[in-house]
Amino acid sequence: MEKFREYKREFTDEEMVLHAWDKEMIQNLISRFVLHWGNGDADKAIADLWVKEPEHTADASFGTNTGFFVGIDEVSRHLVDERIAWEEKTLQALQAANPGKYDGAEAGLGTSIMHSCTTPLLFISVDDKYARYLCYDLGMTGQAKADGKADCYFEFSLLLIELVREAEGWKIWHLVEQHDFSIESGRNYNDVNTFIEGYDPAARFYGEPTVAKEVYDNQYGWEYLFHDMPRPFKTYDEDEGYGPKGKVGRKFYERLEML
Amino acid sequence: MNKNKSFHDRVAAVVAGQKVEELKARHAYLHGVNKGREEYGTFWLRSDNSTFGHTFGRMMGYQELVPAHFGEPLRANAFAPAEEKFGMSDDDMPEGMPFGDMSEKTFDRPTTMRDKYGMLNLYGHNPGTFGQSCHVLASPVIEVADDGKSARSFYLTPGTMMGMNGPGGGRSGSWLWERYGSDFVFRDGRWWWFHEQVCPDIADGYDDTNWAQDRFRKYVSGELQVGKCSGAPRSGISDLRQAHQDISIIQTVQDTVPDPKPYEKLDEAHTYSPGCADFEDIYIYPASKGYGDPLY
Repeated sequence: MEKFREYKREFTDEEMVLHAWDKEMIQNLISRFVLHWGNGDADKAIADLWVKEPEHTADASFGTNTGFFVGIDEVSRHLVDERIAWEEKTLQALQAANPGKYDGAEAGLGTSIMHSCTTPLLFISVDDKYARYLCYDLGMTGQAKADGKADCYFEFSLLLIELVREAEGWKIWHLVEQHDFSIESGRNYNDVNTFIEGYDPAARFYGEPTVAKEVYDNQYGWEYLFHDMPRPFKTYDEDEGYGPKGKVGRKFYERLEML
Repeated sequence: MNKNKSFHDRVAAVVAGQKVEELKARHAYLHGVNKGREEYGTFWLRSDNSTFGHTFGRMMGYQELVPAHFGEPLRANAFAPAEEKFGMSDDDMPEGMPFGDMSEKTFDRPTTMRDKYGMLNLYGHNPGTFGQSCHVLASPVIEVADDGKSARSFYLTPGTMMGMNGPGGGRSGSWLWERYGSDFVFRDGRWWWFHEQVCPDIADGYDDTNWAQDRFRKYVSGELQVGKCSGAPRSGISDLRQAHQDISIIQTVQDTVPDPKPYEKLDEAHTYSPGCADFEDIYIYPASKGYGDPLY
């Protein structure tokens, strides 16, 4: 029986089934993550879908345009605590403006967030221990205001994700959300003057990272995407990975210094 | 559908489906950063039957579609009319995105990137700079032939794109819905992209129009004409027939690239590029003339 070949690897039928199955499971995992992330259930997502083994949790990371949250506790602080704080602030403003109307309401009322993972590009390392994944997040955010109005945006981001196979299975290890742009409802996007005015509504979600640095300049767009997008790879390499010590977010001159 | 396939052949069909997903995604991102050479020179079959169709017609054969996508000189917009040299110099660069509002507007501030930054050649930078363009992929239907030698896919894209060259002095943003019909073939031990038929349906800027109402009025008045929104067929393409026109609300849906059904093998009844289904008994240009493939 002829063996399967993929990127200079050879697979028996059984090995190929497992390889294909891994890809499907990783896709499920990422889909579950963006669903929980949008729902405001990131605590559940972190518990179920992110790394658990100490050698990975220590440098697990979530990158935004302005920095990396490093360590699983810091990832949780960003995805869970900062989200809850935003939700509570929103609700409190509504309650203050509408006495008695929202008493006892749960945090989250008055907000709306959705994420998605479209256009998935996935490669599993030759040693079968790691995976790199890229998708495009078509999302939205909404926030009710005390004055009866609401801030609503379509949100667009690249998600660069590195996964590792732990004893329980595939887990998210490093994730970088490169936020591209926000489309404000009711406003002509062509009137938005980003260079001059520094307009970036998504900045309110970037939070206070563990390591503050420019990870993605959405004015320059996909300048480094070709170099950062997943491609066949042998095994984990810190420099090439999507963690805080990796190449993502580095400028050309910084990449030269990595040699 | 052949239900008597061996275990090996069933695995092969699953792998083929995943390969189609991979190639489609690689294309989406490489196209977004204008890396035509890295896709057409890497995973397209280098044959005279390879075709790329769009509203402008159908590029026939590898020698025809390659120059359009990464020929010399490389243009930022490969689909622009030949006389428009996007990216060749700052003076040639038009303002606005392909589907953006190209009309002149009056502002009490600098209105173009050049007004603010002087001679700034946006497209002279690393491809992808100053823009984000993603023909995101959704709703795939993928069928692998019973003989295991070809695969066909249908996708929809609710695409989104923006740039730094908006007529308003800042960004331009637009959305674009298209449907894709693609044929892939297995030859010489690997999968290749063989045919692509792009069907742009409708597009407009973000939040600067009521696109249905405004377009309806323009169609009724004659300002817009069905089939002419994406530009007329351009020269240099052998097949100038326009397979697909933009959707407008004054015409019915064009099912130009219907979802593939289970099929035995790639042939005239099962292809998105009529007249070009043969891929087994045709000449393949050598890698030295097609840039080769470093990945396989």
